[in-house]
Amino acid sequence: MNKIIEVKDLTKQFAVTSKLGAKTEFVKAVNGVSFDVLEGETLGLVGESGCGKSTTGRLILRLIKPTSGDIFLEGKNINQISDKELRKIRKDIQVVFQNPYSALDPKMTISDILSEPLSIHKVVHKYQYEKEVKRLLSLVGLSEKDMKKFPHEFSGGQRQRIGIARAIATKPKFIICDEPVSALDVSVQSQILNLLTELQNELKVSYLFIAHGLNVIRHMSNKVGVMYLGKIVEIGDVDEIYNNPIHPYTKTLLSSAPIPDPFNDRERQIIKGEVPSPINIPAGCAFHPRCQHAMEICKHKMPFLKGSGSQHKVACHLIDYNEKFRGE
Amino acid sequence: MNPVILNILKRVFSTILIFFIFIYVTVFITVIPKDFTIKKVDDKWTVTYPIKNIVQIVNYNLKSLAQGEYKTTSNGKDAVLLIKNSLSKSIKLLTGGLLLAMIIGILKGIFDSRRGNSRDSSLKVLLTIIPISLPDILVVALLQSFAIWLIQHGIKIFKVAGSGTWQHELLPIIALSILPAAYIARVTAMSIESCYDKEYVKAAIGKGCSSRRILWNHVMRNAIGIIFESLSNITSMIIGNMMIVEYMFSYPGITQLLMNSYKSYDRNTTIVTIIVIGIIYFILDTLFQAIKHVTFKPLKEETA
Amino acid sequence: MIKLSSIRKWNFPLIIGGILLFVLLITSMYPEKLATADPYGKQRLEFQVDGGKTTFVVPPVPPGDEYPWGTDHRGRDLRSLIIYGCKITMITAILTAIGRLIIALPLAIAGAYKNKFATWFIKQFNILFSAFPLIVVVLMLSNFALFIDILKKDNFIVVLLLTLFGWSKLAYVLMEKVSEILEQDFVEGEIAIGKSRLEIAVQNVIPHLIPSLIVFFFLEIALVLQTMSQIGIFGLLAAGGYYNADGDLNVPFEFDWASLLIFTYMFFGTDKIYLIIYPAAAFAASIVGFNLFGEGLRIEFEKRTSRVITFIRRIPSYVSPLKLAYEIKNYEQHKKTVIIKLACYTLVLGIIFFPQPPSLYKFDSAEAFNTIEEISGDKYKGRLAGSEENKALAEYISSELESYGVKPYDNKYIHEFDILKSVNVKASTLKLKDSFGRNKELIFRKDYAVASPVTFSGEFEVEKVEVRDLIELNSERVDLLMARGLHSKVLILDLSVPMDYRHMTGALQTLAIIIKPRALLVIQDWGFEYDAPKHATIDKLFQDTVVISMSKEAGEELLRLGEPTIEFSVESETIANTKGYNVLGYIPGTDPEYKDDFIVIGSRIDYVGDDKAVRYPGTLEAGSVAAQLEIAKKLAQSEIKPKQNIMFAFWDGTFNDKRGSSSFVSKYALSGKIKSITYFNIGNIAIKEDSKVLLDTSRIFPKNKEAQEYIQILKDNARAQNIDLQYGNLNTPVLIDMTSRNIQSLMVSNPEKEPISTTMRDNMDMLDKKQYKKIGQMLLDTIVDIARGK
Repeated sequence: MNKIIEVKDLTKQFAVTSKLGAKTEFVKAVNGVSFDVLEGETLGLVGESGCGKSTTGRLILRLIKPTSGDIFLEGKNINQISDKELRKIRKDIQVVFQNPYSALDPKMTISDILSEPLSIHKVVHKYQYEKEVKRLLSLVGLSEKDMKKFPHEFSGGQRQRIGIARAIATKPKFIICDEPVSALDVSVQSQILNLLTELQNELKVSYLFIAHGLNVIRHMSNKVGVMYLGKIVEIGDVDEIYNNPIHPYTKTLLSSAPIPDPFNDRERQIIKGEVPSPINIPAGCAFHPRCQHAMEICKHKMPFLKGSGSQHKVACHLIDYNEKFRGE
Repeated sequence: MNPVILNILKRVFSTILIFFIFIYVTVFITVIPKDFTIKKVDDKWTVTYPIKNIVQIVNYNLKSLAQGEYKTTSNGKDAVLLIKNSLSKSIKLLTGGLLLAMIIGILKGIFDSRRGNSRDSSLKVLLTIIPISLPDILVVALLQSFAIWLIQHGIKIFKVAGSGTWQHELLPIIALSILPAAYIARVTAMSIESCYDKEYVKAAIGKGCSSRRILWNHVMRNAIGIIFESLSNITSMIIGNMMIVEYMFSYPGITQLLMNSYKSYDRNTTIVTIIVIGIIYFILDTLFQAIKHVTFKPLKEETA
Repeated sequence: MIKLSSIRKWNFPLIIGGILLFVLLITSMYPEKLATADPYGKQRLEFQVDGGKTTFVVPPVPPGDEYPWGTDHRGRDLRSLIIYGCKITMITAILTAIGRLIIALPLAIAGAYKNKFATWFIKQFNILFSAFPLIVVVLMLSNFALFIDILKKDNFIVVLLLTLFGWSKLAYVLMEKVSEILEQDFVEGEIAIGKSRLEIAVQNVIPHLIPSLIVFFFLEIALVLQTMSQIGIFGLLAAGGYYNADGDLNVPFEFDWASLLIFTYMFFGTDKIYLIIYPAAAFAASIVGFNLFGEGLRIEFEKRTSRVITFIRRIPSYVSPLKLAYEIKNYEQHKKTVIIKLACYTLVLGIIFFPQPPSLYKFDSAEAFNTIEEISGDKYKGRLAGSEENKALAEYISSELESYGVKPYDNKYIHEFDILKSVNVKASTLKLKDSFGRNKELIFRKDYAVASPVTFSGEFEVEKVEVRDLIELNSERVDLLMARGLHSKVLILDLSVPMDYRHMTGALQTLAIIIKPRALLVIQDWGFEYDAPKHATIDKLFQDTVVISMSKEAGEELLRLGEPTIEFSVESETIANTKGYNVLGYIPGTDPEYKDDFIVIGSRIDYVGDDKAVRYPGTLEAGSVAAQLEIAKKLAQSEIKPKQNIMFAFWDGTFNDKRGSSSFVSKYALSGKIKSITYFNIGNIAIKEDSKVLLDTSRIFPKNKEAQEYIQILKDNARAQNIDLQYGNLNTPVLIDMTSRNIQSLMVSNPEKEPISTTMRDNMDMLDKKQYKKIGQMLLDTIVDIARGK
């Protein structure tokens, strides 16, 4: 299977403007991220708020310009291309946004919203727009009566369906789902997730699924990447990660997720301290101030993603130094 | 170099640049002769005064100005003294007017605003909009008729024209203060109301702070910055206002000098007075901006 | 039922602003319905003696009973001026706002998209033209020939300058608004599906921007009005007027409110300050209206449950005729909407195409043309006043009046009066002979005209004199002059070059009093192509000298010949101590209160007389007589009993010193027999070369309510006949007599670009028959309406 998306060393820094207008400080939102997504596969990206996962998604979408790094779509580097070419590329990379209340232009009808991508990328002929819109609506479980309505006449879940319909309108190869269910009720969440899964099967599209809910990630993804302070600290098959986490952060994250089983007794990992500010990322391993197992080397040397097993990679010095933590 | 210092230097430089452009444009406009037009001569459109000539005249004028030719007016009077006198008179007017405007404006603004009461009435919006809609000529004319009416009934506090005593300055100062006061009142009311909508004020109310404490500690602090920001927006309106007031009250301030020297074709004095008025504008504007920066702290994050 | 609490929720600024704007709209569209007086009428100096007390009425007249808002310094009713000026003021302000929007919007959008040039430009422009007060810029540049040449109308100059230099504030706020829109979340979505920036701007930003745009538009109009009021008060921008009327410089023809403020600088700080207060209050009302409306719209648009936006977006479908057709097809389902829509359509179409009721009495133009033919025919030989032919003409007219049933005034139709002298210069020849014996014959009235009533012939030496030799004389210079023997020569004086008029009169006086040559050839820049009009002033300065006026071209020819001899003759006819014949007929009024009040309609029956070999039909003048006769006929035969007396006056001797109208006035008006007259003077109507019909109402006091009503009736009828009636400054000698405190006159005429009247061309070919019929009908309807007491 070929790679649809490949990301190499993607970084993004934001400058903080002081009162007098000088840019003295920088926020390292994404600090060297690399991964790839295969055809038909879902890569989940999980982490706490502020770890940089949404920013990563936006970088791939080129909604923000990366400070450095490369992005490849089916082998083609899309980082340095012209605006015009970029717009063409957007046919293949689409997005479902987090907030269903603000992602759609409130002054456009559903029919307009869904016709726009069709007309921009000439997906079908002009006279077929209406037919295609109806088809898209039925794909996402809405009726054609909804065509003339405005976004504010729909509930959150329905709006998200519209957002999904818009994303699949251009028959993309890759869709970034940026926390698509975080703003929805729990009961609605499952419907949307099921929809996304169905669509993937039908349309053979790849997803980058960004979320902070671990259960959701597990449900949706084939592979999972865990992010902390702008870096991926662990990445691998979903079952591997969930059953056999290696990185201390991953372990903590998984252990803190509530399991609805009163008899399940597990060992809780407790981390000390707060998430540091992304302006002042600690030297060496970013997690070391809070890590139970921190060693001297962790304070100075930044660990890289290394694989113990072809797919399962961890960025932690412990795998080198401590047998206990070696995977498999 | 320290980026902060670099930034300040950049700003200072651009201000100076604008200033020079301002002076150049001023001279340019005053130099263009009145019958400058485009006529058809031999089937070709030509200007009656070649632009090159005009530019030459402008440069010449600038040079002579820089050499101090502005010192006498066209009827031989001491221009510097004249400018100084009228300038001081105008500054008196401005300071009096602006101070009065601030006092009246803020008081009215506080009075106008809902102060946290939830009676939502667009009626109040009416009361803030009408004062700022009054043209300044109406304000001056009404004040003058009021003064005349008083005089006709024996109360001789106000003098309606000229200058020399404080009585002469009273009415002009009041006239000058009214429109800025209306603006300030409006902005004050709006910012007070928007502050009351903010969560932290609601929290303070919930904690039991007295309304006066809330007003002073939380609300006014934020409002002052916004007030000065709006003041810098209306600086040019204030100067326009001053022109009208000085004209209608025959008050010998700097804008009167401008009008008189323009009417008597005294080009140098005209240019210098315009420049002086421009300087007043810049100073006022900078003053307001500075006060605003000190009291108002917005957060800005820019993407690289 | 309306609950008190729900009233609180009403959008007061929108409602009150809307009411104010509606009032402004109505005032702009129908000023004549609201104003009590025609804005051009002037209150002249008037004094009344009541018992022992003398009251003066001097403009500017303070507000009072007669003039509710006072008059301006020329005597025009201020309230009418403000009402009539509403339209042009609003148009100027709205055009400026639109202009600013056109410049500001693209720049603002570009700036919001972080286009460096746009942001920089907006910012710098803003700073530059805030520091340099906008008023000063406009005042200084408004006198530039460049703008005047291109735009001609001063109001457009104001629009241009205010637009060019005042757009930056609007651009700034628009830029902030667009940035605000661009920061909203959905914009990311639009980018994500691959839209270009331009597409997003047009398809997404602008629909979001429209509510704010509308709000800013109204607020901007308010700002422009503020600036206009300031410009007006400084008065350096004199909003022109392009006819130099009456010695009034720059009479503002369009009374936009800013122009009303121009001359008020004389009255600051005085009790005449009302002159400023009323126009300023008008400005204030309009500014308040626009501000309130704009703010009200903003409040409305910000409401989340606002129905206004949905309403606005549905407007196209409401008015779409296609949709109406569809609804009519499915009538059953849409009964109610169809009925409402059809009713609205009928109402609107009805107002626009409201059928004019046909005129009660038809103006028989065929009959009028017959009369014109008769009057301008050979029989009356050019209708020279004092001639027997004119007596016959008067008799003809009076018999016509009698046949119509019009009563004779003061028991007689024909009113004789004395004419001292009546002159007709009938023929002249002028030959130039140069020293080589070559002859050049000049054509009378084409190359030269004679201004002296003499009969004369001879051959003379010609000598040119210079103006400078004839002025600033002392005894020495006089001796020099006399030594030249100019007394026996024909002198040439070149007055065609621009010169100080004092020099010109000085030179002429020297010639007339000291030198007294046989004849004087004055070369003047006639400035017109065709013949010199015959009624050009008979020169009174020279006693025995023949004065000949020569056109510039002919004069140049003459001068080129060196000093030739000139052989010329003048044949003129002078009738001395003769009589003139006014014809006066009237229809008595029925109301005893008005028994001494007259409405008089007048035209001149006399003309300049024929030349020896050339006929002067005077068709245009005959046209006014014929029209008047037709009106008299129809009115008399209609059996309408008017409230006040309506008189038809046909004046004789209007080219002479003591006119027929003057004798009428002294006999009847000054003696008190007639207490008041409203006079309609019918001038030359329907000249082919120019279709503009002018009405001069400046001699009617604004407080004269009845006369103002008549003016209104005239204007209504003009509109009914599709005549474009405009104000113009018109003069005719009769009006000199017919203007006083008790006699107020107006005149309708077709002005001529080149002199036609009293030339040979004043004949049937010059009469625009269609226009004549329309104007005749208009006048007839007006008089009929007045008589019926409408």
